[in-house]
Amino acid sequence: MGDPTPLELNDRVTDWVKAARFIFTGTVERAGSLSPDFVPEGPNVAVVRVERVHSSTRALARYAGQVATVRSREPGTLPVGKRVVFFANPILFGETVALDEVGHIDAPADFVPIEGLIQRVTQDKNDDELAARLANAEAVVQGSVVAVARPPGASPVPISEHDPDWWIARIRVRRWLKGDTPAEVAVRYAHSRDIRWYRSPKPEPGQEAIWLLHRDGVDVGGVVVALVHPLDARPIDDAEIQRIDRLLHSGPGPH
Amino acid sequence: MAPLVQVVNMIPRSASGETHQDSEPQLTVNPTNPLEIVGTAFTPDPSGGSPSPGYVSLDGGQTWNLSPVLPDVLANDQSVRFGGGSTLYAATLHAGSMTILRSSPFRPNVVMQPLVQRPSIDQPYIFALDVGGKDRVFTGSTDSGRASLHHSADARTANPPAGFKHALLDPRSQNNSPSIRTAIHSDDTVYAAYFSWHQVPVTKAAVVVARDNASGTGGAPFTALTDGADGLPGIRVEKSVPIPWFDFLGQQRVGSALSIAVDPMDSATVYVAWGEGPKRGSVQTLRVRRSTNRGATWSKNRLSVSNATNPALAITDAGKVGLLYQRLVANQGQPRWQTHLRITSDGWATKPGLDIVLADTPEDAPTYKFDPYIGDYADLEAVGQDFFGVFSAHNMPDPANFPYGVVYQRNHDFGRRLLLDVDQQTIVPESIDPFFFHLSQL
Repeated sequence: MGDPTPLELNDRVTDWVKAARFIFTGTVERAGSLSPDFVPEGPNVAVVRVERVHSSTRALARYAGQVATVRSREPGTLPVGKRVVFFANPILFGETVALDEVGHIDAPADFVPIEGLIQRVTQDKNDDELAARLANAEAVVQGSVVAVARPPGASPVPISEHDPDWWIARIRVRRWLKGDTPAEVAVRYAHSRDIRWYRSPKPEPGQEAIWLLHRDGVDVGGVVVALVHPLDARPIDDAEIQRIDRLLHSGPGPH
Repeated sequence: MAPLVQVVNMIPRSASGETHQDSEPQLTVNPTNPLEIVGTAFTPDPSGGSPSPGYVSLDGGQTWNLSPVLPDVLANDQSVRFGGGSTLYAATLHAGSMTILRSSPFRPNVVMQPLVQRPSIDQPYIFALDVGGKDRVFTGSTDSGRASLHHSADARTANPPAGFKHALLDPRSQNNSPSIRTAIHSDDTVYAAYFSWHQVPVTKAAVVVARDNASGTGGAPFTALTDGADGLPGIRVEKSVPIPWFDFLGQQRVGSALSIAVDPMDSATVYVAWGEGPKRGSVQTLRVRRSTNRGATWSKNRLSVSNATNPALAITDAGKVGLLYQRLVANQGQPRWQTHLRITSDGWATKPGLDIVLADTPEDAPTYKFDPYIGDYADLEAVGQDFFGVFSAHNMPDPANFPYGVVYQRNHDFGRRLLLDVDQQTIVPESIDPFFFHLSQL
């Protein structure tokens, strides 16, 4: 594995950005492991001081200044003192974090290009996920919730703790972005707050959004389309509307 | 001499920034090497990926790590138990589909491998015991709403499905609460407890204990106990009691609270604990009863605790019985969750025994994100003469909330009662965390 410079932000680096959940710049302090019971020492294991976090979840956003164990893909590629941008995935959270490297490049003098690439690739990843959800949707509509109610005859007490507790939302459609529905469409959603369902959309009367309606093989009182994925309710703002228009008509990709 | 009590917040230092609702914990101690302990909770990979982490300690619970041992993203239910030969078993639930997993021998950095998959399952809960070099493994759950067991008499080394068979438990009802609990003895006696619903959805149910004398290897498993009143398998410890179902204790959904434990020195002695209600003044009351004749007859209530949930029973080699539970109380008008460990030497026949308050934490904050707020169960395990366990609670680092002391690995400031991120400066919002405990010198 070579070490491309920041000026060579090529497809390989793009793939690393896609595959890595923790991207940071750090300096190799020494060979060895901080967690030898979990990541045994070896020629491809080194202790790295994190200098700057470029991309992470909230849990690692403030890891700058800390040390981490990094298991590189190839032995001998992380000599002491080397300063690089790591594309990595955590494999252990203990006193310190341990990481499997996806790849690395020499640390640049200017972080703007690499952070710009990370931002673009991250946006593309998010777009890919939304585009897939849009492509599979029966209909995509902009509208406001007129009312929500438990279906007539449905038990107010579920049989299972993980039961979705289906409710019906009636949405008055203002704009059709994909598919065809009545001007007022009934959609199913999981009213349950159980761990299985709490992230799925919970429409509220008066709420306006872009709704991604999916067939999921369930029929509750003739309502066959549902909002079940966190992405199935999108906020109403100009940028999001333009984004959805773009993804519906041209699909994801570089832009 | 007072017992030695150790309580440890299990979130590791490098995950100090995490704010998830880490509820519904479980714990298992490796009988081959008690320094090796594995736990679970509703804790996703802090970096947002998969596989999902388990809590792993290699020093008897003093320090904890999050290591990716469970395949896939965070499960909707999960349960872990060690068998013999350092073999770890787990049962997980994703979108209603159960997977029974094995790691043989367990390695803290290796993802477990699937043995069995089955759809239409709820709350898989696994038990395992090494009997003469063979692992007896029982996974209780509902299967399409019915109380069932997926069990193997020798699961340690065989290729998938590792001898797992399926058995339905309840001859009286087609519907059961999701908690199906078992207790395994080294003489191959196995008890199973479940709620048998009288109607759907449940308002009243029977509390039933069934028994098998050969680890489920016979032709009609779990039919060794017959109820004299109706001639059907399974003794009804209570024929009809109100059972909570989607009732709430504070922010905690309650219902289907159940636990059973057998004396490791005497398979005739068995305890069962369950939650019933609601009744005036108590959303859910825990009851504890004992049988000393292999489940044939049962005592009257040995212990009753109002407004409580998550009962977990265990019995040490010395015959001491432990009951872990979490109780909602009001302190100067403020709701609080108290986590108790009650310990008795006489089955609560004449003496109250020890009542150890492991934690006394605020109930009304943090605001819940999903059900269950602190979990549909906590866990207690006896190893030799010690008790090990786990519960989830509000993680405010206030020593006053932990009467027997507490150790935090995640960054904190006890003086200011604040959680701090890995940078030791940024304040982290409070959330629900799992807490390990160990009682020794009993």
